[in-house]
Amino acid sequence: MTTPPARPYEGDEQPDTDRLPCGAPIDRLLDQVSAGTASDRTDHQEQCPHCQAALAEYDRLWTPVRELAADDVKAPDSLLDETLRRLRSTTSDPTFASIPGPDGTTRVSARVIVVTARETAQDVEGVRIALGKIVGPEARSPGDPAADDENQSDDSLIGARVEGPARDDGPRVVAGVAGRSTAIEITLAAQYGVDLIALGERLRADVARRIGTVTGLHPVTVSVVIDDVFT
Amino acid sequence: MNDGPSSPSGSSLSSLTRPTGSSDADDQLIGATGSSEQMSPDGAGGLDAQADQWLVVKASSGDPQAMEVLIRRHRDRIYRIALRMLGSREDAEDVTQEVVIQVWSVIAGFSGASAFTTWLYRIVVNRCISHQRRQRPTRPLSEGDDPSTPGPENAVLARQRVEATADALARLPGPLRSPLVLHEMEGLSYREVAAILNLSEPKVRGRIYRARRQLVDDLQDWS
Repeated sequence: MTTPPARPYEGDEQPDTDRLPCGAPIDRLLDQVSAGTASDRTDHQEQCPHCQAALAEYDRLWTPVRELAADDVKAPDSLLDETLRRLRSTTSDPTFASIPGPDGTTRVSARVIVVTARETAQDVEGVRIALGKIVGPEARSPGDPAADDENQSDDSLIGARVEGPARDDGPRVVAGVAGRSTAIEITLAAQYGVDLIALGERLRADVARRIGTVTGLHPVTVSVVIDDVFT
Repeated sequence: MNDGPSSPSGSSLSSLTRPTGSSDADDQLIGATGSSEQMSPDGAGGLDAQADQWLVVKASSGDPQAMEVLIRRHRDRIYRIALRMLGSREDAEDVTQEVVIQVWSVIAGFSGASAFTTWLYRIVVNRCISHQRRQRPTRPLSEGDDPSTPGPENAVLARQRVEATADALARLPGPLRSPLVLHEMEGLSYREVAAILNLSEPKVRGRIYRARRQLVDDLQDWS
């Protein structure tokens, strides 16, 4: 049985395109190999030894290119962290929460709380993107009457009392105090169509639980601002 | 090493075809006033373009957290493009840092005329081009150069082949390398690459084609 001669390639490429002896354009074959479809031959290729040989060879040569593309390269954490730390230093919130313990005090930066809240919120189903921030007494100016009673006993104290540096040194963060202005605020864009009230409740619970676990500042007030919905 | 099938007609791939005869101009930095072409709805590589846009608006209005989240979402791709463009981890790290600082500094000036990713990757490519211009023409030592690399022979050979590919990629002329990296390594479409490089789509196709040809010829020499 003899194989019928392959029909000449009929395509729409420019005449100056490099071609195999059968007339098939090389760029089309490389496209095919690059797309990983070298084995999906056209009618012409099924009959053409030139195309079959070229496809096989290009596919073999292209294998390490695919492997290189599939290499899951990650930016070194230390590299980015250092760069961002330097950039943040110009804008960062310098406040710390201090959690007194029997053998000393644990200081937790406001950033830790914010990042924990943000990352937790980001994982809640229905949240497309989220940001977090601490809102609280740091926004108050010195002499603000609301700030003067921070050290007083408060019946509404339901969590760990957390203090930042002395007032002269800067703002304070008080977390876990109900009825006060200190709170975590999550601003987010949600997936269109989800029950936003339920989303807010779920997010509030998850964030409060996570912050409690990670920082000991438990519970905290979590405000949820649904800023946008994405379709 | 050459244990694969022989090339068609038993000769080099180059000999199968007529020479292209064309050459590229030197690397040119890509202008900021590029196409307003948008990336695909899901964004490059499946990233959420809507979320990017939301973060950009907040970052542009001075929210440093939004800026940081934005950069973290794209950091691996910034680094990966730089690594494939430059062929050296040290250079890629330098460029990544430069890009992060530049983006942080100028995000407020981002007009939104193009997708954020288009704007960002244009910055990365431009930084790579600038970085290469400043560099002396030395070839960095790659992992594949270490003859004492342990492991089974096949794994070592496969790794060396990938390293050789990375080196061959880095040796491509800049005008060919940029579109090939963005298309083959990052999976961007011709249209997206054209938007990033501020070129027409046919020109991008032509450059990618020539880059592929040069790459397979180089790889054939290696194997």
